[in-house]
Amino acid sequence: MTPLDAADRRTAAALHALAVLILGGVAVAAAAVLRRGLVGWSEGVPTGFAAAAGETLRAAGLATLLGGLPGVLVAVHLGELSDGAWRRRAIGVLQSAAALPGVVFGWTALQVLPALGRPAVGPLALGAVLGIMIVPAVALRALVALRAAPDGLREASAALGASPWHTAWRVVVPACRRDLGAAVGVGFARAAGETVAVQLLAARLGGPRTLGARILDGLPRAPADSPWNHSLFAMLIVLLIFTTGVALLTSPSRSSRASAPSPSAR
Amino acid sequence: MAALVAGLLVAGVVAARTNPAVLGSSLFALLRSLELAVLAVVTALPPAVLLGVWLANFAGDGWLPRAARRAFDAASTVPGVAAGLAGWLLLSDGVGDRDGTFAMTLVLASLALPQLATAAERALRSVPRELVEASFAAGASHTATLTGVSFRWASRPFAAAAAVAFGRSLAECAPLLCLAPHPGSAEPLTVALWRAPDGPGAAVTAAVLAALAVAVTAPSRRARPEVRP
Repeated sequence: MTPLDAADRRTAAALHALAVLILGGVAVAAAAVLRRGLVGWSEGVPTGFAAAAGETLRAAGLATLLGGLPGVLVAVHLGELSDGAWRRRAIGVLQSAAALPGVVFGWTALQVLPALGRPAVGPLALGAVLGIMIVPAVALRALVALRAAPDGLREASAALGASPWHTAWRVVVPACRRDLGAAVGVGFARAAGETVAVQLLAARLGGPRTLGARILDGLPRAPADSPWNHSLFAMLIVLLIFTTGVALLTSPSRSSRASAPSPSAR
Repeated sequence: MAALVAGLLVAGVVAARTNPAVLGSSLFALLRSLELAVLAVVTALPPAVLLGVWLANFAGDGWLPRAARRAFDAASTVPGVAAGLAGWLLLSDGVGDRDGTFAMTLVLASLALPQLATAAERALRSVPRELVEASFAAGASHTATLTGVSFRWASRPFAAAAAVAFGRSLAECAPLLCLAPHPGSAEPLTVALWRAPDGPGAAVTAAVLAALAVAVTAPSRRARPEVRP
């Protein structure tokens, strides 16, 4: 590998400094949020916290049950058992659906649920809405996980006479189970963190009010630097544990990819 | 999912034909959304590319790049309302930022930055080793190889990732609600739909958002043809 010359070393040092600056800035912002959240906790348990946390976990859990498994099944079908134009079009639809804003899902649910004879939204209906919302995200993430499985596995299975179906379910899926679990974890995180759709359904159809919805509701009304305002940050810390914490716990480390030799890394 | 997207588009077209007057307000909201998304991506792009270059070519495997990668992975699951609350805490007293553009841009850029940096790193790592080694063999330095070879190879997948980040900025609502100064000021599409879900223009606004979702994901379909593993 070519050693770094003087100009390369200057570039590397400048980039390193920039990285420290940006990551330091992010850390300072996170610390400010954390500090206010801790102030909120030191002032007592936020009003309605237990109900909101329970609703968040219930909604995200139902959404993961209703949307996580279908998402993985869609990914296995598209990644292992289909080919050609159908596969390309289906992935295109998933990508477009994944890019739809949460507010659009919430608005659609506002139009559809009353038409289906459900004037009020219960936990199951909310879980179903969030479940539909996370299917594309879970499926796309699971597709990436399946694509990362070594081709040698498929070839060896095919050489032993296994059908594509058997290869997918008996070889590829078990080999990727951690990454598929991470895809489901991302789905849980997205459902738990969804704010606007949940808030719309709570405000208009009396749906459950999760942590995110309570934060969004309270922020414009809570006076700045009041205990109410602090309690919103306290709830945010718990919301971050439910979302980012869960996603981090379920995600395999990227260290294997990071440690792979890059083209010009020393 | 296809039926959902198609249904949104059809409902929007029907609503626009029934009441053409609603197109004006949707157009204003679209322009505001595009303004914020362009500003956010333009703000996030330079640092994201530089971070990607650092991670892919110069960072090695120390604790700082490992922490950066972990932080970027984690950032993709941070709810928008968390970014909005952080922006409210740190930026809401911005001097001269009456319509919230500065704060909204910074928050949207901070949400796009990890995604773009990760995409830049992946795009640079996808450059074939033979190309890089040929450049070194021709006497080029690391920096010259990066600018002359790697960037050209990586530009297409990175452009697709930038389009997706642009789409995410268009789709964000919760952080903008945390920072929106008051109803009635120039509102992006998502905020307009949230404020008036029963309004006459809601179907058109939802259709425009669906059309944007289809449009922003088109480059990624062209840039990453799905090859069977």
